[in-house]
Amino acid sequence: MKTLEKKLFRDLLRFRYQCLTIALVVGCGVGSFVSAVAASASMQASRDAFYADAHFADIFDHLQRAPRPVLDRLADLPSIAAVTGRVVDDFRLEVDGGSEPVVARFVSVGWPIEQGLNQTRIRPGRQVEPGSTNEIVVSEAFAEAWALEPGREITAIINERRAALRVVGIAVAPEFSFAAAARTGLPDPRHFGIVWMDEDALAKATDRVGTFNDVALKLAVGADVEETVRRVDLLLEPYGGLGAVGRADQPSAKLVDQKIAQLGKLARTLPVVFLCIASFLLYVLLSRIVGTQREQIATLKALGYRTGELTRHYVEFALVICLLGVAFGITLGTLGAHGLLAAYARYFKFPAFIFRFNAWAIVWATLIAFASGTLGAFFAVRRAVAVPPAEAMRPEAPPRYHSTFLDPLYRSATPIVRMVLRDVQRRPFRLLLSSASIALATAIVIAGSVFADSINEVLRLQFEVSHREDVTVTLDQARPWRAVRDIAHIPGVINAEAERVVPVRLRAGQRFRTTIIVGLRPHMDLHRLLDVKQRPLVLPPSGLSLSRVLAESLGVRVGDELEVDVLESDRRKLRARVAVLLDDLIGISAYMDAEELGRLLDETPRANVVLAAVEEHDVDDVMGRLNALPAVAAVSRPAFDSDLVRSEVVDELTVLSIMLALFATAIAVGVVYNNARIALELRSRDLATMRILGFTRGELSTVLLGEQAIQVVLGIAPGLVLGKAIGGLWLSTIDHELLRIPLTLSGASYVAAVCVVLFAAFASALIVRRRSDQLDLVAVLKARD
Amino acid sequence: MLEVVGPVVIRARGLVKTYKMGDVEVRALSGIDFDLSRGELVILLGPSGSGKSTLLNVLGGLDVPTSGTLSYLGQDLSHPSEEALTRYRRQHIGFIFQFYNLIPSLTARENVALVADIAPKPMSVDEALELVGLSERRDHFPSQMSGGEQQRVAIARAIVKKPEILLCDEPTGALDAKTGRLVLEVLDKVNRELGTSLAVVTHNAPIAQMAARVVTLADGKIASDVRNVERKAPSEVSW
Repeated sequence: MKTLEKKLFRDLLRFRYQCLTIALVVGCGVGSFVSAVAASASMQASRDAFYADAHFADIFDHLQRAPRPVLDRLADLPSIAAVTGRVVDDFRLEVDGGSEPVVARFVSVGWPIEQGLNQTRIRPGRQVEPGSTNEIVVSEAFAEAWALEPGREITAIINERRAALRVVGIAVAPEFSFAAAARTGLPDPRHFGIVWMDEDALAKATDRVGTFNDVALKLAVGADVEETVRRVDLLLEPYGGLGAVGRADQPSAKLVDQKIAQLGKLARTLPVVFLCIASFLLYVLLSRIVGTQREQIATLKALGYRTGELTRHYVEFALVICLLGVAFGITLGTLGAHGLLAAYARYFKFPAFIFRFNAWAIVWATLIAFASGTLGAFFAVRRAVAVPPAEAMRPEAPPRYHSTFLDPLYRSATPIVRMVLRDVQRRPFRLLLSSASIALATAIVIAGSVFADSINEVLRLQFEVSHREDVTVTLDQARPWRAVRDIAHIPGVINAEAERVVPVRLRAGQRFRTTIIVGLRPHMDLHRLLDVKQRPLVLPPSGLSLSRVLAESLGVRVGDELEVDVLESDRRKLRARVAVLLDDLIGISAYMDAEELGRLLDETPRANVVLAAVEEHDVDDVMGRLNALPAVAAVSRPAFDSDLVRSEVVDELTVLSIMLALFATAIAVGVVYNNARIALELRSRDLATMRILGFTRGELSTVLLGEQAIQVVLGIAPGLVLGKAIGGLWLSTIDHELLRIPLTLSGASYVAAVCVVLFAAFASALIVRRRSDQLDLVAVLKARD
Repeated sequence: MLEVVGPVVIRARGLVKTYKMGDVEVRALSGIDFDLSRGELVILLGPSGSGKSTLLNVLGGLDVPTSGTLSYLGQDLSHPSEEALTRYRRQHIGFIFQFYNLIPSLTARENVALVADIAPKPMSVDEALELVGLSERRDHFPSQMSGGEQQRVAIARAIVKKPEILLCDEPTGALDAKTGRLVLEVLDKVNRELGTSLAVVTHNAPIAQMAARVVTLADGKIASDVRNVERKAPSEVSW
C-alpha cells in the first residue's frame, strides 16, 4: 500500500490547517487525560513512598492524658505492630515580635527516633538533640510563610510562661502533609504551624511528664481497621480518648486521598468531551474529503482496490491526525502534570514528588483517541466507499431541497437569508452536533467559573455575612461573662459578643462523631447562622441543632436523643434531644442556646470565644492589647483568613480557568474553522457565481458564515446550563462534611464564557472569510465538479 | 490486415440495466448479447445515452446488470459478490476513462505504482511508462501535464498489471485530434504487442477504422455488429 500512503500524506498536507485544529482538540483531550492520570499516579507514588519511609501510622487517637504504661497495653493488642505515644498541644507563638496571631501545634519527638511512627523528614537543618530544652524543628510550610531558617529564635507562650526557642531544622511529616488550621479547615501556614520538640522538654513544659495525650498505631499485617479502632477506643476511653480514627479519616491523609480521587474524576470526564468533539470534527472533515474525492474513490475501486482497503485509507487519515494529537497531548499532559504537581506542592508537603509517567495512560490515551478517530472516520466514509464505482463516477445529483412548513416564514427573508436557513434545515444533524460542540466549549469555561465563583461565595458568606466580627478572641479556658465585658471596654471595640464552645463526642448507638457544640445567645449580631439559601437561622430555645450532614452520619432525626460526652473539664456525660437540622455551609457542628448549655454543664454563663467588632483604624491597637491579656489564648482576624484562603485558592483556580478557556478556544476554533472551510469548499462555485451576478463580499460572507453563526448562537445557551451542571459535579468532589458549597455563577462569568467562545468563533470565521474574499472566480467556475 | 481472434473472454447475454437518477428511472441497457474474444479490438459506437458506457461499466465489473448473464472465461459474474467483482477488476481488467481519473496528489509514476502495488504479477512501473513514452515525465503531477500526457499515464496505469482486457471509455474524448491519435497509437500498440483485448467506447465514428470489429448501440440495444475488412493504423485515422 505504499503509493496509497503517499496520497494520504499529500492529502494531509493539503488539509493541514483543518487537521491541525482537530489534532489540537484531540491533544486537549489526551493532554487532560494524561496530566490527570500522571498527576494522580505521581501523587500516589509520592504519598506511598513518603508514608512508608516515615512510618506513617494506620490509626490515630487523641486523649486527655494517660500514663505511659498504657502504651504497653496498646502494644499488646493482637492487631497492633507498633505504638508511639506523644505529647501534642497547641500554643501561641510570637514570630517577628508577635505582630500577627500565630498558633503552633507542638508535637513531641521521642527516642530512639527511628523506632517511632509518624517520623519527620528534615529538609534543611537537623533534628533536635535528645534532651535539648530549647530546640525545635518547624514545619516547612510555616517556615516558608515566615521565611524561617535554622538559627532563628521564636518565643512560645506555653501555659502562660514565655519560652525562648531556637529553630534547628525544617521538616515535613506525613500526618501534616496538608496542615489545616482548625478554624478554617484550610491551610493557613502564616497563622498555623507545626513545631517538633524533645519529648522530655515538652512534657516538662506542659506538666505531662510520664504521660501522653496522643497516640499513633501501626497495624499488624492483615489486621482489621474497624475492629482495632473499636478496641483502641475501649482501652483509651477511661483516659479521655476522643475516638480513634483510621488513616482514611486522618485529616491530612484524607485530603491527599481526596485530591487523588478528584484527579481520577477529572481523568474520566474532561477527556470524554474533547474526544467526542474530535470524533465529530473528523466525521465532518472526512465526509467532505470523501465527498470531493468521490471520483478518486470510484477510480481506485475501478482499478481494483477493495472497499476495506479504501475505508482503511481514510481511517488512516483520521489516525494520523489522532497520532499528531496524541503526541501533542502527551507533551501537554506531561507539562500539565508537572504544573499540577507544582501547584499541589504548595499545599501538600511531601519530601519529594516522584514523577510517575504511567505508560498505560499513554496506551489508553492513544487507544481512546484512535477509537474516537476511527469512529468519526468510519461513519464518514462507510457509505461513500460502498457506492459501486460506475455510480460514483456519475456526477452527484444536486442536493435535494424540499418545500417545508417553514417556507412561509422564509417569505419575508432576503434570498441570502433564505439560502442560509434552507442549508441549516437540510442538515439538522450536523447543526445539532456543531451546536452541541459549541455548547460543550461554553460549558467547560462555565464549569471552571462555577468552581471559582462558588468558592468565592462561600468565603463571602462565611467571612462577611456569617462571621461579622473584626477580631476573634479565643480564651485559654471558659471564663465568666466579666471577661467579655473587659474586652468590650477596650478602646476601639464597638461591640463584643461571647460564645461557649465545648468539644464533645456525640453518640447515637454504635455511631459517634467528635465535634463541638457552639453555645450561642439569641439575636447575636456578630455570628449569624445561615442556611444554604442564605437565610438566617434561628435556634430553638431548647435542644440541639445539628448540621444535616452530621445528623445523617449519626443516623439521627429530629426528636431523637443523643449521648453527649463532654471532652473538657469534668468530662461529664449528658443526653440531649435533636431539635432542628440545619442546612449550614461549613463543617459538622452542633449548636445550642448558651443558657441551656450552661445549665447542662452546671456552670454560670461562661464564654471561651469572644467576637469583637472594632473600629477599623483601631484594629492593630486592639489586637496588641488583646495579645497582652493573660486570659487570651489566640487572637485572629477573619479578614486575614479570608484574604489568605482567597489567595491560596485563587492561584489554583486561575490556572484552571486559563486552561479551560484555552481548551474551549481549541474546541470553538476546531468547530467553526472546520465547518466554515468545508462550507467554503462546498460553496465556492455558488459563491463565485453570486459574485459574478453582483453580490458583495459581505453578502457572500453571510451565506458562508451564517450557518456558523447560527450554530454558535444555538450552542451557547445550552452550554451555559450544561456548564453549571458540570461545575456542580466538580463541586460535589469537595468533601461534603467540610463544605456545602452553594452553586454560584456571577454575571461576569457568564459574559466571560460567552466572550471566549464568541471571540474564538469570530476569529476563525474571519480567517475563512479572508479566504473566500480571495476566491479566483474564473478558476472556480472552470473547475469541473 | 487480418486479425487472429482467440477464444471468447467475456460473454454477455440479455443484459438489462436500469437505474434511478433522482426521481427518474432510466433504462440504459435493454437486452444486449455481446462477446469479446482474446486479442480482439472492438469499437463501441453510438450517440450519447445509447448505453455504450453502461455496457462498458457492466463488462468491467464497475456495475452489475439488473438482469441477464455475464461470464469471464466461463466464470459467472451475473450476481457477483463485492469481493469477486473487486478481484475481477484487480486481476483482469484495465480501465481508461475520458477524463483520465488520475489521482491529483500522486505523480505519474505513483499513479502507475498505485496499481502495481496491488496487482499479482505487474510489469515494472518504468516499463509501463516507457511503453506509453512518458519516462521523461514520470515525476510530474497530473496538474503539470497536458491532457494527452495524462491519458497516456492512465494507459500506463491500466496496462501495468498486464490485464486480459482493457476497457476504454472515450479515451480521446477530451483531446484534440493530434493528441488523440497519439493515444490511439499507444492503445493499438498495447493490443498488438501485449495481445490485450480492447473494447473502446467512442462517439467518434472515424476511430472505428482502426478496429477489427465495430459494434453500434442505440437506445440500449445493439444496432449493428460488423467486422472491418481492413484495420487502419491510428496514424491514418483522421477526424
